[in-house]
Amino acid sequence: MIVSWNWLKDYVLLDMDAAEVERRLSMAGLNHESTIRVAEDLAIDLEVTSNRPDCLGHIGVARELAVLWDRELKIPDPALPTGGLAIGDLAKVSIECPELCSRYTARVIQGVKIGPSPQWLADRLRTLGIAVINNVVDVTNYVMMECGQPLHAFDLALLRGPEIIVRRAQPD
Amino acid sequence: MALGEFLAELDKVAADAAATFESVLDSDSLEAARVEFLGAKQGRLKAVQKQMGQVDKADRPAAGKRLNAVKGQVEAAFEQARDRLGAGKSNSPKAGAEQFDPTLPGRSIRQGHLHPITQTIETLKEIMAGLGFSIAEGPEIEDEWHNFEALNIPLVHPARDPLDNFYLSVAGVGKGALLLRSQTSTVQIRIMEKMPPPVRIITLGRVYRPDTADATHYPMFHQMEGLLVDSHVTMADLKSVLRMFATSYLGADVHIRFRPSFFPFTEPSVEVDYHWNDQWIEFGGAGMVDPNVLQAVGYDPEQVTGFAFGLGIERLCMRRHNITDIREFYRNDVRFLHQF
Repeated sequence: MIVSWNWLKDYVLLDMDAAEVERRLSMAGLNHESTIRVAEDLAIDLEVTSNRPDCLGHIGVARELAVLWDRELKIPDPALPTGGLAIGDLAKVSIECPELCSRYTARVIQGVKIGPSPQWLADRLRTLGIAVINNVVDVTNYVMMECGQPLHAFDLALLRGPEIIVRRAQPD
Repeated sequence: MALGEFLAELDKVAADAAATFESVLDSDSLEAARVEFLGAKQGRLKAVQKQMGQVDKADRPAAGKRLNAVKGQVEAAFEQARDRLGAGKSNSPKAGAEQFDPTLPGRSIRQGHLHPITQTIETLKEIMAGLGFSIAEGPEIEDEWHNFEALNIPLVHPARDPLDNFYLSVAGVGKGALLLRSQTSTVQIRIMEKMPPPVRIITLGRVYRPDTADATHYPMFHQMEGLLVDSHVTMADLKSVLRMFATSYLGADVHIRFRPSFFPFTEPSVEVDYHWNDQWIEFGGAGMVDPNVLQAVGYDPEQVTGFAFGLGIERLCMRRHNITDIREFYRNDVRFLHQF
């Protein structure tokens, strides 16, 4: 898990040395592998063991730092604007193999204009070594690296129908 | 000095040299002949060369040319004689007999010796025996129960991926699958299945993982695994044993530290580092045996606790001998192995 020093600062006060952060994270179970400077930022590579998937995002790593230094963790409030249309009329999700996929959430966002991402967002992705593509692809990567939840954007107009079906592969 | 006189002198030297070099029988007389004819200061050729200045100026190129030719002949005769003596191929049987020196020591047969990894294993066994651990062994071809299931690595765990293990094609992946063991922890299970606690064992042997070989990885390497199960075993015991091991192997002043980590078969789990040249260097993984593992072999986790550790033997050996590339161990180059 590579974390951006500047990005972590959104969630917890970082006025200490990066070296001290690396040392204490190592001793807390997130082994420090390396740190490289990317433009104005630091890319800190941490080894996350398989029992700590909560640390596969910046908020998770920031939570560790907040606890280690006894500081406040500032998690952004996801203020979601909602439209007037009923979601059931727009799209549907069906899970045909609940034993493999216990939960799948989807959201329809309308009025999207594809364009470049804002500079600050592009810079953060570049620090992590993630390719910057466009605002839609970038924001899915950004949210994944923020909270550790993988997500994907589909163009609703290009789906065969307005439905996501989760199932096992079929023969042929 | 006339040219003829000079050339006659040269011819005489050439003839004498040829006869002398042909008849030398040992290296002493060869050396004496070399000094007589080719000596840089008092040699006879040198003496003739010095007379060059007295030859008429017009004749000097011819004289010089001849001098060089004779010099070449004498040197060739010397080299021939040297080769003849060196190769021990004298034309005269008597010469051969005289060459034999009964006072020379005999040529000893070159002896093989233990591979550096084997030497390291012997050292580790000695240290651990001193701490009361006995040696256990297990098969290198394992079933999935011992390599995974009993070690709390369930079927869905990514460590069981066929791409991360050497499964044997005879049995296929799935029920009854066999694989080359990916860790020596398998032996823990075999021992605990067979005997009741207390258990205090180490096991040393080969493990196999499909890694691409580079300076620090090899698809086959060696591990030392330790296991201690008894009533009232704590992490303090683990730390003491590893500290005693580290000071025995690396030196009395070495410091070790535990870093939190994760392994499916221990809880809590740690990585063990030792301090060397102002740096912490990882030398193995360890932890308290997971209650699920104790249960899998029929022990009562309410009655007994235990610790386990695994160390890479190549890494320990490389540190001790300052070897920088793990592949050297398995190239079997005698010039490398000979040094240990």
